[in-house]
Parts: sequence; C-alpha cells; structure tokens
Amino acid sequence: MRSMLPRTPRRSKRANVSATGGPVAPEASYVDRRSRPARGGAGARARGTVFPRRRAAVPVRRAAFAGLIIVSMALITASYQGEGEPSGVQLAVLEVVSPIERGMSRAWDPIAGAWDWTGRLFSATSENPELKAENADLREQLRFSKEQADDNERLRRALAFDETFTFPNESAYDRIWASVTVRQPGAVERSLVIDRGSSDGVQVNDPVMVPGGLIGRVMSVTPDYARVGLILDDTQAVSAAVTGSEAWGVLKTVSTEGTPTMQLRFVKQSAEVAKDDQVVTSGFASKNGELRSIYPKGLPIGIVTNVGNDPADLHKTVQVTPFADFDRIDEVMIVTSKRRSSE
Amino acid sequence: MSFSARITSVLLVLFAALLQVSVAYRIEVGDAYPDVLILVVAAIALLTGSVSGAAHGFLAGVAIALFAALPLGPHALVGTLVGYTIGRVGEALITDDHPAPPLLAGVFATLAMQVGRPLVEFLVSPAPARVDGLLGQAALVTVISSMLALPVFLLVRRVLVAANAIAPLGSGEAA
Repeated sequence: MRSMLPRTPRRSKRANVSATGGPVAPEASYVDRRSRPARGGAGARARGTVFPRRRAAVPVRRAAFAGLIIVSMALITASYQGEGEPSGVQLAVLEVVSPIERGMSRAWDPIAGAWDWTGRLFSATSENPELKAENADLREQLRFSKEQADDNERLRRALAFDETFTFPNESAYDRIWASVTVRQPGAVERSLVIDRGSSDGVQVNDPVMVPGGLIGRVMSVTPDYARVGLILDDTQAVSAAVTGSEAWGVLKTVSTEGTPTMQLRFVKQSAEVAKDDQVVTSGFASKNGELRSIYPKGLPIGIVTNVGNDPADLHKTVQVTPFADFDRIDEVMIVTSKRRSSE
Repeated sequence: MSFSARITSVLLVLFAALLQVSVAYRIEVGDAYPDVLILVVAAIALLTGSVSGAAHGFLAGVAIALFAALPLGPHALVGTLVGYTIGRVGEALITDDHPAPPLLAGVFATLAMQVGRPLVEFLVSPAPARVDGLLGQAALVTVISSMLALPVFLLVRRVLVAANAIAPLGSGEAA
C-alpha cells in the first residue's frame, strides 16, 4: 500500500542536495531536519518526515481552538434565537452569491451531458469513426430535443394549471411564478431557493405551489430571491380539511424509517373520511380573527390514502399522499396576498 | 504560512463551498450527495495542522451556511472540531505518500459532519423526525465522499504546494 500516491514533484534543487552538497537518495530527501523526531526512533527517522509544517505552540493551539468553538456556539445561539431563520447578513450574502451559484449550476448541466456523450463515444470503438461522430451528434440533438420537450411539457402544465386553478377568495391574491435556483436535498433540510424576491412582490409566509398542489411557504426573502420551506419538513404544519366532509385537522410530515409521510392529525372520530377524498388547506381563522392560518382556504394538498379508524383513539389519523412531486420541482407558483402587498 | 498562502487556502475553501451548494448538492444518489467541502477541509487539516485545520473547518461551516441560507453555527462548530482533530492526527503523521491517512480522514470528516451537525441541530431545536434516517443517509454520503477523498487530497496538496502554503513533498522545509 505504501507509496501508492504520486509524489509531488520537487520544486527546489535544494531538496535533492545533501548537507555536504552532494546528491541524496530519494528516501533520504524525505527527512525534515527541523521537525521533531518521528515516532519509532531512528528507524522512523530514516524513513523521513514529509509533513514539514510548523506546529503551533500548545497555548496558542488551545486558545485558537477554544476561541473558534466559542464563536461557533455564539453563532448557534444568535442563529436559533431567530428560530433558525437567516439573518440580514446571510440574506445579503445570499443575494450576492446566488447568481454565482446559479451560473455554476447551469455550467454543470452541459458538463454532465458532455461526460455522458464522451462515455458513449468511447464505448463504441468498433464502429466506423464517421458513424460514431454522427451517432454522437444525433444523440446530442436528441438529448437537447428531449430537454426542450421536457421544458415545454413542464411549462405547458404550469400554464394549464395557472389558467384552470381556482380557489375561494382568489381575487384577494396575486400569482407569481418563479424558478428554483438552489435545492437542499437530504432527509434533514427540506428547503429550496427561488429566483423571485420582495421586488417581485414575494412576501414571507406566502404559500408556494407547483402544478398540482401546495409545497410550502416562503420563509425569508431578499429583493431578488426567496427561501421556501417545504411542507415535507417536520417543523412545518398546515391547517387542512377534507373536501366534502367536516373533517379538518393539522397536516404534519412524519418520517418513518427515513421516508416522509404526511398525516392529517386531530381529526375528530365522528368525521367521515374516505380513501381518495381530497385534502385542501382549511383557511382556518378564529372567530375574533386573531388566529388565522397563513394558507388561504382551498389550496389542494393531496389525497387520502389511509384512515386510521381505531375507536380507542381520541382522534383519527388520516394518511395523505401529496399531489406535488417533491423530487422534481423546477417552477413554482407563489400565492401572495394583495392586501399585505398594499400594506 | 505566508499571507498569500493563507489567502489561497481561504479561497480554496470558499470555492469548495460554492461548488458544494451549486453542483455537489445536485449530484443526488438516493438521498445522498458527495460532501466535497468537508473533504477539502480534511485535506487542508491533514496537510497544515490543527490550528489551520480548525480555522478552515470553521470558515467552511460559516461559508456553507451563508451560501445555502442555513442556520449559522452547527456547520461551523462541527467543521472546527473535524479540522482540529484531523490536524492533530496530521501533526503526528510521518509520511503523506500513503493513501490511508487521507482516505481515513475523508471518511471520518464526512461521517462526523453528517452525524454531528444534525445532532447539534437536534440539541438546539429538538424535533424527533430530524434524526430519523440519519445514519443511513450519513453512511451513503460517506461512501460516495470516500471515493473522492484521495483525488481531493491530491488536488488540495497540489494547490497548497503551488501557493507555498506547504513545502513540496521531500523538500524537508517547513512552509
């Protein structure tokens, strides 16, 4: 296993010259005379020390380490005082780096395509070179056409959704379409960044949808970008109701063995809920108007797939499958309140 | 380390953070993705020592939180611990022409970040579902990242040597 890594080319002639001026053997040139003796005594020293670095004095090292830990703790404290929401500085930095991130993301797509193309080209070594080139060219064209067809299909769906989708009291709301610029995958965070911000009328807590259904709400905004928290995140909750029924409750996502599942909780036992019933936002508001759901009434969320009917339970737990495909979110629609905009 | 060498290593970390947010997060294999940033931190720590490792780990944590609009702190805390620990191990190493230390450092760093950060977040803001499926995802990310550990280490070493941040292998000089 030893010497598997390529050795960095020597940059200094001095490295190959012994103290007496004569050339030294490669192994001997690894010895760092200024560093401490290697563990293992003379034998280890003969092999040489090749991490020639200055080691910080113990008090300096400990002070630096402790200082960084304290600053990290302070950052955590400051950050979570605002419920983990990005600070003004973070939003300002995001505003600056988002275009760079978007540029790098776009730059990556052709690289991935070129990599596939190269792989295919090399695999067809037995074919005539002209045919190979033509084949690759056709594949590239096909890939491009398929991408365009996918884009067209996606935009067509979005347009059809925009034209046909209605919900109660929709005249009080505007619709803003946006593209996703940054995704945060994984089981822990569930958020994404979109290319519309406060200068487009996007506001914090605006509901966000895709053609099909609700996906989350705006958590924070900058003039040109916004961060969307998805309802798949276990910290999110939506006041929801079952259409054609008096059943309503709180929609939460729970993770079972890493797989997120949506549940409508606290549905009273007497409420009638059946499989395939549609679940929408309830638009809950208290009588005095002090408590009000941030989601307007009637936004589609998903479909009932299972109803827990244990009479011993105080409430029913209804399993819901979302309409939205959370694995592929490219364009989103923000539903923003005209009243709040005018305020 | 000279001032220009420090600037180079800082820029390296910032570039890795940008690469992580804009490219690496998009390379999804199941629910996992390669964690290039922590591999860069591990390589720098292994090559330059504990104080530098801790500082670069902290910087990487702050950078990824800023670039991806995540809560500040958890990444920085775990990054600092990872950088310091690997730096201490690196200070005790005899040779860097063996593939085991960079590979093990990459595996340790990825695993520590994947498990440590959610745990810190869990301790700060308890939400039981946040740790569900954590180990499976951490293992997958670690496997993917470990495949990149050696190339990333070699690349970082090359950059640091070019910037005179570390002495070239075999020169016997402290940078």
